[in-house]
Amino acid sequence: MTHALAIELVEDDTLLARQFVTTLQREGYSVHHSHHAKEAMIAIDENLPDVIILDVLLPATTGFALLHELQSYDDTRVIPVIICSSVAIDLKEVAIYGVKRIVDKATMHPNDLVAAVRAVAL
Amino acid sequence: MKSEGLLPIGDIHQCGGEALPASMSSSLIAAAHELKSPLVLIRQLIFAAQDDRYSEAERTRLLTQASLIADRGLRLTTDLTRTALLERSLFVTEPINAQQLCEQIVREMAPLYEQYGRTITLSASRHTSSIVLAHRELLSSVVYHFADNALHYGDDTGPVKVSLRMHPSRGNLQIHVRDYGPRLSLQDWRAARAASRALPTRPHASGLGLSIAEQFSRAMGGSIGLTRHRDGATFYIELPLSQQLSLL
Repeated sequence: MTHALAIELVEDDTLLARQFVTTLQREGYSVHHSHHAKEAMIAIDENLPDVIILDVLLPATTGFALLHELQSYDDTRVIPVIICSSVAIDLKEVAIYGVKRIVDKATMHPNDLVAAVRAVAL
Repeated sequence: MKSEGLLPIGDIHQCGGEALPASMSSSLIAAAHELKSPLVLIRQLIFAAQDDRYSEAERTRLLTQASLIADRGLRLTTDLTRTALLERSLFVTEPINAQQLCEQIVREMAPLYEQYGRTITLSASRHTSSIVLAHRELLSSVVYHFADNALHYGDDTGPVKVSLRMHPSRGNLQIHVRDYGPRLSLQDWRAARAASRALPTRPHASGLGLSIAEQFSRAMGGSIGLTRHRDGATFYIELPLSQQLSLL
């Protein structure tokens, strides 16, 4: 039996996160949700996910700071990251931080998130 | 050569040929950012409500959430319009029962809090009367923005508490909204009051709500303030007590 792909979702909007979790779980993924970067780092440290979906505007510590933190360790550096944000970000500028895809929260359909996960998890 | 990706906020007002005053552009950016979040959420809730895999009850819940989030966005838009009219319009103050007004706001906001799995409570006033001189709609908006900030930028370690504190010797009353969440830096607080801008310690907070609260409180002859705690913040508005107390 293969284990479900583990996703760490870092999103501070509870209602939005609930929708993303439901969408991803329906596709068979195992999803853990963190509201902020500190909570996410603890969760990632305890159970390394296969994919991280990250909002960048987070309370206290931004998603960019979390990206830096992830790059500091060998085991977290290799985890593919999908940025899901309504902030305009150029993939070329963040690719060096392990970001593989950017999903524009303002225009995305839930299926776009699933497609992004499938693409980076290959 | 500038990147086509992220633009520093200070540079955005220089885009598109004619330059806007920096303060105007930062306000526009803050407003756009603040209005974008509810729209993004509503859009996702509607996608979900259109999904056949959700039960009828779940779809009803999703549409209720969308409606509550839309109300939030509309209130913000209305208040933004009002701030533009503050200098031209006369907002007449009248004796308002602050306790009753807060009860009404807490009642109205409770369903939105509930959707987020949070609670908002109002401490019973120890005072027999809490009549302030204020403009009902402006005061409602100020308390609403405080409570809205507490919902979206605090965390769920405790209920948001609204309370009243009367200072008869100073002739005023304070309405407090206590939240639990990231400590707000003094620099952020000063910047948010002066003009809406993003708050690094609470990055989703554009400062727009606080900026509106500041302008509305001044229009009523009051002021807003902040008490910082290790585990959150108390925002308050201070207003003059009505001299008609004895008549009511």
